[in-house]
Amino acid sequence: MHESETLFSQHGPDGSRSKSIPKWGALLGGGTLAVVGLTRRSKSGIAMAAAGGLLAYAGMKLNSNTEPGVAETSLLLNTSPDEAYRFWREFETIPQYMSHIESVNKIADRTYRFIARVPVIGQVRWDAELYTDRQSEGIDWRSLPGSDVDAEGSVRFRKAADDRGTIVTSTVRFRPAAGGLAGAARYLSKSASFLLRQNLRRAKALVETGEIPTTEGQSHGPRSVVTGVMRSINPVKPARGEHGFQEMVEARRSVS
Amino acid sequence: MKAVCWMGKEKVSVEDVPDPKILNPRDAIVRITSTAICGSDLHLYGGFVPTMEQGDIVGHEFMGEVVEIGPGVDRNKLKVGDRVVVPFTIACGNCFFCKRQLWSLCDNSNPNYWIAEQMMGYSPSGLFGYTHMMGGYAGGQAQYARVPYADVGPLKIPDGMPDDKVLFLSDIFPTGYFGAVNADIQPGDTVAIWGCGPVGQFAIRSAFMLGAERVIAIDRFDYRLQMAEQGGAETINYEEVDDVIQTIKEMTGNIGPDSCIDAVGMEAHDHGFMYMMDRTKQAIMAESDRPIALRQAIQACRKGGTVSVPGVYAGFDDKIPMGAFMNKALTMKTGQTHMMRFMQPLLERIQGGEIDPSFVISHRVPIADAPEMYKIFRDKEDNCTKVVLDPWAAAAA
Ligand SMILES: NC(=O)c1ccc[n+]([C@@H]2O[C@H](COP(=O)([O-])OP(=O)(O)OC[C@H]3O[C@@H](n4cnc5c(N)ncnc54)[C@H](O)[C@@H]3O)[C@@H](O)[C@H]2O)c1
Ligand SMILES: [Zn+2]
Ligand SMILES: [Zn+2]
Repeated sequence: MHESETLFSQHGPDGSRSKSIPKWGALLGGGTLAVVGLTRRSKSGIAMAAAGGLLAYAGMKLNSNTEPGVAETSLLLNTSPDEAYRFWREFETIPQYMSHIESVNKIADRTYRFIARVPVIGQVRWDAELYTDRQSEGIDWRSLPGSDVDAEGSVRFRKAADDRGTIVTSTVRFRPAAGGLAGAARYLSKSASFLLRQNLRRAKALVETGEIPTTEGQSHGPRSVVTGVMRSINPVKPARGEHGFQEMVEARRSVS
Repeated sequence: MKAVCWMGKEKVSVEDVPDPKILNPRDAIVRITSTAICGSDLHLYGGFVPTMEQGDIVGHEFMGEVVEIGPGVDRNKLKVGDRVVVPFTIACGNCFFCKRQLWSLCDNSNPNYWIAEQMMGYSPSGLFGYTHMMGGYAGGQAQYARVPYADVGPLKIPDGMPDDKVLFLSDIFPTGYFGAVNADIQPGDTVAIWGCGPVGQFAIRSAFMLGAERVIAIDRFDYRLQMAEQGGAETINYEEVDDVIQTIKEMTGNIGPDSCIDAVGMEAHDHGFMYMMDRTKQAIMAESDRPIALRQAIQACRKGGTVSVPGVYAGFDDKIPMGAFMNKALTMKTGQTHMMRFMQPLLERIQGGEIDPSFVISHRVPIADAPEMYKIFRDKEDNCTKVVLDPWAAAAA
């Protein structure tokens, strides 16, 4: 990793401290995308990817002069803040609801190793440290030096009015590639927020119903060529792989 | 298995496709014994609703026997061998909306939530055999179907009740009833209903069940108007009168119906200038719906009345008389039917002999005839009111 070692310590908690956080959008999940012109060491930075401009991936190693991207989204969950917190805190279950995350393993007290698989780029690894962890309230994490990714994020759990459950707010800050297009950060933030919401939605479904809705693998008649192509670049095609069915069966439904 | 597939605008065909599999823990597989074609299928058939894909299995009114259940299905609620009617709305049973009995608004059942979200702000529930915006779930005009959240939707049917009597609990009977409930009918009310298709027919009968004293039914097909009369309605053939609204005013002493139900939806037909405008706009995709019945319902409704819209609209509509709507202080209620709220009570009404929903059936055919029947039903030929398909019957020679 480059100069990002001091990234998370040199600034205040308001997000301004993100200094050189490279592409994160892709890792937030979401897409089985055709990524255009993106290589792992891409200096040219941003590759706007695929699917009718819906998504964008940034390059991996970036310099630090661009505006940080921020992805944020929130959803109402029909469960208590405590239950929601406990669900999120089990980091090992993340691959069930975040597409592209292959595994999450605890490597030290409060530190987890994330392995993601991103189209074209391949495997991406980072170690995330929980630097705040408050029961029923929230979690903050940041990537550690030596990771393929510089990013930080938080999840907050707030009791919704009228006993409607919990409003979960998830935020991720990242820095898109340098030399990129003007407005790229905003563009990427939008895409990343979209992906984040997709993942949050899957998490919500898992918490509320014990499974993630899908039509992948259902029967259909002959598809047209156009349909076939559209399906293969569907930006939100749920990633299931080995994770999925069996784990969902074991996942408890936390509300009833 | 055999399944009716949407193959493009005005094109459906019966294809051999793989049998459905359990994809999620709470899924069940149902072996379908009866399935029907709905007015909503006609909107898909006509290519009026965006996000269909070639090869999609259509159909959302079906019933049959549970042949397989996933490991997450609550065994106290459903087991292999149960005979069930499957509601066309797919609901998880556990979200904010399901908990409030707003089943067609389930927050979890649409895997393509984001598409509907782009168009409507939020997504309604997934639906069987409908567009990808509504989840793209394979439908039930087939020999088998996969039913998600199988411990929530399917209604168990006691032995001895024939399919014909209970099949329409899957959609149109509850939909007609919901249309009447949404019309906020008070005892003694007069209710006007546009469209005497199956939904309109059940709305007529439901309006009386809910205490209406007069029902005025509007359509242009005499055989359907006759069926409406058999249900107790007074009728207007809109092709035989100069002005529907004026006729309704005359019939109600110039006060108007207390509530109006649009059981026509986006493919309304009319003569005259507005109809040509709407058709043209629809053809060039400047407007997605033809809201003729809706406009009339708003116009005809008495001051302070309620407009209920079970008819399906898909997109954007022009020339909705908001001025009339606002200044007459009307209320409008609508939605895909919250099926699970009505299925059990309506089953009881059928068991009690209050109604036999099979009266709407005009055609019973093998599934192989589906492509032809779509056309006949669309064009209201051969006195067609409702088509029931037998997924297992051999095609007529
Ligand atoms: N809300 C729901 O959950 C739900 C469920 C099922 C069906 N539907 C909708 O209900 C509507 C009716 O369904 P159906 O199965 O009865 O269809 P259908 O096609 O058999 O009936 C529609 C009827 O409306 C009549 N009509 C057309 N234009 C008219 C006009 N200007 N004035 C009066 N009548 C007119 C037609 O002649 C026809 O008889 C459709 O839009 C369908 O999509 C809604
Ligand atoms: Zn229907
Ligand atoms: Zn729900």
